[in-house]
Amino acid sequence: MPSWLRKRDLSPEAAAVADPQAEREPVTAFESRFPEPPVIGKGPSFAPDLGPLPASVGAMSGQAVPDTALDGTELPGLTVRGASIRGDDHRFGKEIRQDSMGMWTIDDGRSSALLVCVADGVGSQPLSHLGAAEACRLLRDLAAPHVSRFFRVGGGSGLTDLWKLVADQIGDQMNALAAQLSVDPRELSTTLAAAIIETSPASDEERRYAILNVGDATAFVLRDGEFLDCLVDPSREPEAITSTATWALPASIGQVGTADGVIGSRDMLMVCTDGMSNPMRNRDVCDRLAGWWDGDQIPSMQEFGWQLSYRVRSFGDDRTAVCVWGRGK
Amino acid sequence: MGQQVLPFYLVCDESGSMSGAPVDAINESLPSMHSEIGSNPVVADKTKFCLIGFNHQAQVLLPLSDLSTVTSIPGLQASGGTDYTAAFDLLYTTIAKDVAMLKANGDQVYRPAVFFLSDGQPGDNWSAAYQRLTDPLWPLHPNILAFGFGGVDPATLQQIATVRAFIADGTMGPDSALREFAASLIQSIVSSGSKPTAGGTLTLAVPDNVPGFTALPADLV
Repeated sequence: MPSWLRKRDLSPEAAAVADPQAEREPVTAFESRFPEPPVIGKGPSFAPDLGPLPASVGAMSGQAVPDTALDGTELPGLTVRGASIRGDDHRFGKEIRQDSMGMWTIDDGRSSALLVCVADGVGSQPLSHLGAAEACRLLRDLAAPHVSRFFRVGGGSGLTDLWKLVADQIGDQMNALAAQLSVDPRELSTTLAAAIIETSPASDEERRYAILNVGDATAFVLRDGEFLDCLVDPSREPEAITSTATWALPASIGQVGTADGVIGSRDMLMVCTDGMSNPMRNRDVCDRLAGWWDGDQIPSMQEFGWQLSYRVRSFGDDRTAVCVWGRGK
Repeated sequence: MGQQVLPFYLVCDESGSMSGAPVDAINESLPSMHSEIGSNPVVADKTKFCLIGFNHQAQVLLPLSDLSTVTSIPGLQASGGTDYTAAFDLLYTTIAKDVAMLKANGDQVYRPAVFFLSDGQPGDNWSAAYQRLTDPLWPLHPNILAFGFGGVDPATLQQIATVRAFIADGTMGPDSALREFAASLIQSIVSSGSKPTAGGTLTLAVPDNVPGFTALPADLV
């Protein structure tokens, strides 16, 4: 926890003593005593204003999408933090957050596991925020009956085949939703990345996980201060020019991605949208994140939200990450 | 510390046949482009703009720049003939140099977008220079939108465009049509810079229709 959280006493009495002007000059949004989002490298050339509420996306958009969602949980041997934050570009353009996330324990009667996931609604599609939320929900429902199998298949093609089966089922149900809404399934386009993590491992030092994805939402393991890529996006071009193409549910699932491995009690496993992974191509960003999250350092939920709201010039997309820290019981 | 960058290149014919209303229309549109893009921080943070003029030779009039920091854009001056080889060769070397510079800075560079504008048939054999520029094996090969009016052959435009070609349909004078061309360029830059595709990546927003122009499919090669 950073010093600015520990040192502050926010009681009215303390505030009056610390700041005698406080009663006469109410604090405005522009004089917040809470730190601004951290800037890494060169910050955007505009302020991190929330702006007005985004315009409604129509009757079928469902309930409002909050600017920011925070979540977290504590399980034996695991601590989870998640945040989904509307990007500067969507705030500036009065548009809603299109990312979504989820965290659940799932059970097939023989095994239970932690499921964490993130989804990134395709920017140009009007209902992609619905698609992102629906993909997370469907993943929970459709992956749960296979919890044991996800670990039993032993990675490799077995895991990929199982994930393809589940991903196709998610796609089918999203297509059904599109038909129900009388919209083209592409309007619900979303990427998806998830991790299924053992909740009752034989040892805290060898907790098995399976990573699943469609598109450029991805996963990393933070170990000894280094972020290790769990997946390679098959649509990414390795050469000089950065690719814009990605696979997406439900209309273009393409090549699904999988990985498996183990995390120990000092590792952190993160699933994230590319609003997170794109700026992480900068070493400065990775170093800052590792400085916050490596080893025994586990932020509070609110602190995690503040950290994830870091700003880097030109990276204004929605940013969503769910991080799972292993720790000894 | 690297940024995401989508580079735009306006490659504009300034041969003698462009003199008068056509070149005036482009020159009058440049300040509004400067102002609209430069004053939109979301767009200006992610896009850069370069202006190349060509007649029988080609010249970089504005090196690849962040429009929010540019104080003025040099105008076009019409004279001379029309040589596409000079334009394509300079575009090739300029893109190569610019991308190398951006990559050296750690930037994530998206495929360059070229708006090519011409009003006349070229007097040279430009095929080899064009093939080099658009060779799929060249990792930096740009997306090209070609706009034409006056004496340019629609088939020539279709050969040049890799994305879409537009030919003036005669419903507007050249000055009005070129203002519409400039408006479509501004709109493309703004949309490309402010509306990310899947998860924040940048992609070229291609205009479907431009008033005063008929859209033509790009030739498939």
